[in-house]
Amino acid sequence: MKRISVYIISTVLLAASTGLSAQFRHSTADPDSVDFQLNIRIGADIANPILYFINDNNMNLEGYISVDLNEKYGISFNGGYADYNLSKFSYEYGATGIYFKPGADFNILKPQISEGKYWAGIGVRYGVGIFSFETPSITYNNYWGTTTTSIPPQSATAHFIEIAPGFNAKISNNFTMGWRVNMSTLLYASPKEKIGPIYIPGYGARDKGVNFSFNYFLSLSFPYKTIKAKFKDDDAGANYEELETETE
Amino acid sequence: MNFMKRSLIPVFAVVAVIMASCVDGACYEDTESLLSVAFYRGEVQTPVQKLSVISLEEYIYNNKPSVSKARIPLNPGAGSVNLNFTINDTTDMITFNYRSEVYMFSKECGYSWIYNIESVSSTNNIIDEIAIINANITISDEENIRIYY
Repeated sequence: MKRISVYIISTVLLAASTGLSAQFRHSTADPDSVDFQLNIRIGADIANPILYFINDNNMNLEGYISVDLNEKYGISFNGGYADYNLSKFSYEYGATGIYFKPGADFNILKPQISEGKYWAGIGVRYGVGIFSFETPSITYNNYWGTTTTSIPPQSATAHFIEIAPGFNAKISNNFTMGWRVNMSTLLYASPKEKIGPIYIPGYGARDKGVNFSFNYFLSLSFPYKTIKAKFKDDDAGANYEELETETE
Repeated sequence: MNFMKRSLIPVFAVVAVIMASCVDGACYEDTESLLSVAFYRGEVQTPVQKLSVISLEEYIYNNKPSVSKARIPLNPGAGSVNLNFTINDTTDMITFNYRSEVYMFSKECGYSWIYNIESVSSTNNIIDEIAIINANITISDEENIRIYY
């Protein structure tokens, strides 16, 4: 009888605890929150390699790694290699080098839409190009005839700011596609002499106030954490907050 | 996938704009830095009645009437040029010594030269004196040399 009583009491307590547990989950399961997957993405641009087949004067290879910090913010690091050649009627020019663009990404999608699968927003980056350039041939014609000269290879650096709005979407569990439009403005380029670089890897033409470029990235996504992001129906995405964090 | 479909429209628009912006422009500017020579009688700029300037077989000016300022090309491949100035049918030879420096004019137009006049000498059949006003020769129309005759 005592044993039966123990079983009955245990069963009641278990049932009660299960009920309480269920009641607790129900109270904290906020209908205005959504599971949001944070990802690490590693990707490569395919737009510029395709353009290289159309115009083989400019080879630009770019990749990136990004980490979602929460449903709104992320950090990114883009890097690349460029080999640029220009042949005009009076001169030939070449520039080769690498560039880095560390920065931050801001997702403007509402978390209930994004859910870590879609990203639409804007990236801000600080770019640094390290490269060499040369003008192997300059031809100049005037009254005195034809003068030819050349400018030997020189090392150079450039610093620029880039704003990069874009969009990407997770196609499958680990595969993401997306595009970025890059708008860059030059902060500094050396050497500042009269024969400075025409083209800066990662930036573009030096004499333009703002350079536009385009990337289409194919990426691998690695979810590393799921968070719950809260939102308001009337202004979803603007006032959400991280409620609970758990590792998958 | 709806997002992907929606995103294709701006993608194609952006690619079209960028492809269009990649088209190389032509050069429509005069990139040659010319030596600007003004003619003076006393302190007054006075046009010469007839001017001829020649060094090689081809005239730079050939009996051009009423010239108050001449613009002369220099040889970027040499440090000096000799030019015969025939002013009102009297000829003097002028030697210009200079340094030349190549510079990037623009991506479309390429490279050009600027010069720095170091010295000027001449015979004195009609020319009394030559003064360097501005030694830097660029594409601007600024007066570089005064010839007093």
